[in-house]
Amino acid sequence: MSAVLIWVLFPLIISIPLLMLRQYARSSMFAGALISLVLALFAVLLEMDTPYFIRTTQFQIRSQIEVFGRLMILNNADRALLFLIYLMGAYWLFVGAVFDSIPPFSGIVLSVLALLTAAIAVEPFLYAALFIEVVVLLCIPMLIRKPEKTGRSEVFFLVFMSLAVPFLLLAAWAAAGVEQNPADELMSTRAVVLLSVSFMLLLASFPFYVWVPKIAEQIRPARVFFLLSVLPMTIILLMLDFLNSFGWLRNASFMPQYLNLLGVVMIAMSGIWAMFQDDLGRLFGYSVILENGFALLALGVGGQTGQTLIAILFFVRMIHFGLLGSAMTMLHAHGVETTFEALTGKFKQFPAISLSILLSFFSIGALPLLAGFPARLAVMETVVHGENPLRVVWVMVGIGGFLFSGLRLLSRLVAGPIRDWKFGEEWYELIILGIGVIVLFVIGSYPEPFINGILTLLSGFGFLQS
Amino acid sequence: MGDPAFDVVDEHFAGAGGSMSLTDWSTWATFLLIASSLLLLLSENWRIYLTSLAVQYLAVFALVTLSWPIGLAAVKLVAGWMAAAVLGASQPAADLRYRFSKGNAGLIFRFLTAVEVWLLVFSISPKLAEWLPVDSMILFQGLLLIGMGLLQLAMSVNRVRSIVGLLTFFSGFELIFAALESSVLVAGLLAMTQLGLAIAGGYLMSLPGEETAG
Repeated sequence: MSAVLIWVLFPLIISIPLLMLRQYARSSMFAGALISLVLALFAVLLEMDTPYFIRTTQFQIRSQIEVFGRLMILNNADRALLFLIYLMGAYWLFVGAVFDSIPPFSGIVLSVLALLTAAIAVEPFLYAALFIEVVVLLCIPMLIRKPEKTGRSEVFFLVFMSLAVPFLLLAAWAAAGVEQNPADELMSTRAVVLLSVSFMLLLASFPFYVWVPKIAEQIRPARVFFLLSVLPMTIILLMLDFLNSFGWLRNASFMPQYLNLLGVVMIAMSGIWAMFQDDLGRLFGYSVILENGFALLALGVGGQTGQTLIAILFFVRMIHFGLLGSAMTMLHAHGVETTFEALTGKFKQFPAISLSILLSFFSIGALPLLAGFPARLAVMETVVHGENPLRVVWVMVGIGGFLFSGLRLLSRLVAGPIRDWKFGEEWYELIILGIGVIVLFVIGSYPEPFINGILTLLSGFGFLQS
Repeated sequence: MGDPAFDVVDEHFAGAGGSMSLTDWSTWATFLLIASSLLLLLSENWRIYLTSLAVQYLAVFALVTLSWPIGLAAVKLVAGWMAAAVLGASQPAADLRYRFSKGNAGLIFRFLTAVEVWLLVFSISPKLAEWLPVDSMILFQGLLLIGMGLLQLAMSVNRVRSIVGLLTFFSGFELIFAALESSVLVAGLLAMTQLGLAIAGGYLMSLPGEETAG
């Protein structure tokens, strides 16, 4: 048995009947969540290329398989990623099933997870670009808009993501050329420029970020949170994979400076724009850009330290986006719009949801005692400090922008006379949000056991071997 | 042309009893590309629009045969025509009217912008030829389509025009990439991408209550 069969082919096949169960959207989403969770657990429990016995029968999960003459490799180093993306898939399917069960979601989520896994597994890297394009195309029917919103956010998403694919294909071609002839400086310049443009498009970097706040504003929360959680993370890991695959690129002296600069620009720009937003969705969109900026800073560090920072940022991103997305999905399920105007005075009606949203934004803005703080601090201490003091200022501007918008949101939520308080949330909503808030505080207050836990988990997977 | 590949294919065509040399072939295809991409930008008639898209794919096919065997190049033609058919089938008559640049003034404006793109492509293609080891004519043709595709994307907020702009951009890229890489799997996946784009476009066009004019 091959790992690709388990984490790529199996979810792809399962997604077909799930797509057909349109009348049973909620059941199919629960089924999808369960399958995704099982696949995430398999990633933790099963090691590749290790013999297992069921009674007298021996079986082994082979790490590689040949498909149409191309290799697809999923080894132990990829298990952390498999765990992360399938866990996220399970979580958003579960949230969708409980609060926003409109088809088609379940089948598409599973096929998207399978194809993103395929993009990471395929060798040579050239083919990853095409898998990403298929993922983008698959996502289009999933992006159902909020009833009150109109616009072209899906077209923007499709156009910007599709424009990246040709650049990525050309970059992979140029990088392969440099591998054959390392002395060819022109070819290496080509590869770097093409790669930069493609990843700038894929990560919605400046100036290609316009679609992110648009799509986050217009599309139903459960779907957009799934998309904007899983896709950027996989793309950053692909970028890491690309850098690791080509030694000359990893060791290029300009690479850290370039990634550092791009990361700082993304952080500062997203923070500045966040200050002027009047919609939770758009704020979330800018926070995705901020997180991507921090991930680029960590990527610029390189080596084991950089990969550790990326892992910490990913986990923290999962937590505060998980809480924010759940709260916004619940808000949507209660029929409340996400504009600041519609949220005025809603603290009295939905205190738990309001508090979760506020804490998520404060965590994104690195407020001490919340999960975002130790992660941001670790990146700032490692990457920005000492290199260029001005960059620290810009990073602070970015973070400050989110704190400021959090305060603006707070002033809107608590506006009006303080009377007639009630918990408008259901009991299960309170439990989900309560767990999220506790995790946010525990990680923020006692980060060391959490970080050590991540490192232990990842070292077991071999993720940190560069 | 001075490219040995062209000489080989020239001989092939001459041997097959063809009277047209490869240089002529390429020149005619370039004119077809210019005309079809211009019509895609200017036309507000759905039938002319789709026919131009089909002609554009024909020209792309003709040019890809210079780099790939005809059988493999035919994938581009079939996928392209299928994409056009999918778009045509999804809407009997899509609204292609421009919202912002209407009338003759808009038409002249769009034409002049297209001319600017041609001039830009003409002036930068020799410089880019230093970057990509592709025949300068193919590079010019590919960049022309890329430029016109981006122009279509930029000039309108119409969903159909955005999708067709993207398809035109991809066609230009494929023309250049075909000269660099001749993998069957890449050809197949790119054809799938093109079809997928058309299907996604058809889906987006069919969304209820959408304003398509732009």
